[in-house]
Amino acid sequence: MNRVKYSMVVIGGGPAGLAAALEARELGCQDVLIVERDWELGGILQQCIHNGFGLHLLGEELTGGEYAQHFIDQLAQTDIEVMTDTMVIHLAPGLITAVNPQQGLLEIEAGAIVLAMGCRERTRGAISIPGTRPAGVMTAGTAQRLLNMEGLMPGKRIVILGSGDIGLIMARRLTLEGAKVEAVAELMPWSSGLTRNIVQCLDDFDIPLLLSHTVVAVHGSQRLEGVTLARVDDNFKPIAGSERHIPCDTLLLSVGLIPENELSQQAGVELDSTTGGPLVDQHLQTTVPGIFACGNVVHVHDLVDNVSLEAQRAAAGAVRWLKSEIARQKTIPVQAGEGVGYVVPQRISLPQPDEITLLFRVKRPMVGATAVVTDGEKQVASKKLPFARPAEMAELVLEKGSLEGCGEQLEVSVVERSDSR
Amino acid sequence: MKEFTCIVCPRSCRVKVREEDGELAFDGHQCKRGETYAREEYTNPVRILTSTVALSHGPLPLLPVRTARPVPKGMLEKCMEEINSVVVEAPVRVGQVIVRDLASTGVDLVATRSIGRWSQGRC
Ligand code: SF4
Repeated sequence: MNRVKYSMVVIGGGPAGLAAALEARELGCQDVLIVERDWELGGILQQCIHNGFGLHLLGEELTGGEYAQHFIDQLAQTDIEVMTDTMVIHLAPGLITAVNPQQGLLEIEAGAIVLAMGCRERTRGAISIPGTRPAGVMTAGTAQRLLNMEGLMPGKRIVILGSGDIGLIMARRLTLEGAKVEAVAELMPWSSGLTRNIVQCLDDFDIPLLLSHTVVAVHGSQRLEGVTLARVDDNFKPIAGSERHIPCDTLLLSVGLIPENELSQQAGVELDSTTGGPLVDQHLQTTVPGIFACGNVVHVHDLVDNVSLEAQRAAAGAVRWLKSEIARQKTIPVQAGEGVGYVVPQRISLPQPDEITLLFRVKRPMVGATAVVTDGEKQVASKKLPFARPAEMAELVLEKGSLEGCGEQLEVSVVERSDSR
Repeated sequence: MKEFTCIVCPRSCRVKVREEDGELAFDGHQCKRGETYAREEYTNPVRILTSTVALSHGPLPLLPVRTARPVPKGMLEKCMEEINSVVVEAPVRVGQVIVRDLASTGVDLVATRSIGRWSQGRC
């Protein structure tokens, strides 16, 4: 069997993997390898032909492909090695087993490993939609790939379940290609997509957004013939009598993403049941020493810019770990408190020589809220969140040294103050 | 009367625009930027259009493209018609002009990725 050795191996060549590899090389890591299962780098960005990427990190609004190209072009200027068409089939601490058509089975020894496998879409099975099983029911990302990369039109009359950004983007894209998008149904009383996408993808084309609605039946035997939508109550139960039938040949699902962690689990990496991704500390180190993780494999991001930034932090962590510069005298958990869905990192390794970026999501939309980080009774940091939405990740930076003398656990909570409106 | 959701900041104000004696009147915005936004959306809304064109001799059948600058919203359909008639030959470099003056908008259509020419296997 072929056996090769690298100081750092990045699994996945999407936005997280690209940024992690580049940063590691920049920080002086001599031999870096990216392992990518697709035939090219860029990951999901290659099918995201719409614009809106890079505004925060690169200062210009790019399409997904342009954003990927920016990093791919940078990579071409380095000696970072890339194996495409290469599938990792087993992961153990320090050892990757992969396969590709040129070399067959391959063992890759790695000083440090950065997990950057991204996520995949929740499917019909994951949300248990009742009804028959005709063709024409697919995830929004599948439709995106068919239309934008393979030149295939998924259908002519479309209903979209879920108001995630990919679903909204596809509503516009399909309309421009001549399909009729009948409606976007969203189970929650608020949209899980960005406001800009609701305005420019739905309002622009008079596509109705039905909040507190879901699909209660799927009709058709060979091909989808229609769906029944119904309004739901506060407990998400369909309200009898509110059903309406919409004829359509395609149902797109935009109902969330799941971090892809089968490999992580093989290596013994502990996962967070809320995010579905590895438990990490501020260096993005998982519970297995020497295995780091970044991007959507850790938690689902709404902006690719944040994926790239997190990847850079993971790479920095991995480089320092290789130099034995990460001290872990003590690890304390960071809990999601009132109003907070989850916080990443979930743990902080002490001592803390640098500032720490906490990323979190609120549970529901809030106006005039304040995020507070507490250590028992003591407030460690706080930040005003004038308009917090679950769809938009919030960020709070713990200054250098702010955790000195800190206790056994930190908690992040977000409270709405009605008087601060 | 028309109503717009302002997307300039996360407050997402609903701004109403009315025409009164040839003047525009605004209501519902909580700052000046909302008025500017609603005025543009009412008088001349523009959008960046992204799509794909057919690609020959490439490893994929399509090349993603965008308008180099925003085009009037009302022109999107005309632009799509022209985009749908284009075939471009690989290789292509990101930023390369694919169509000059798309649908007489004065705006160019440019490639949004680089792609090699198909040779043995993939490129
Ligand atoms: S009107 Fe002003 S406050 Fe309201 S959404 Fe627009 S920019 Fe924000």
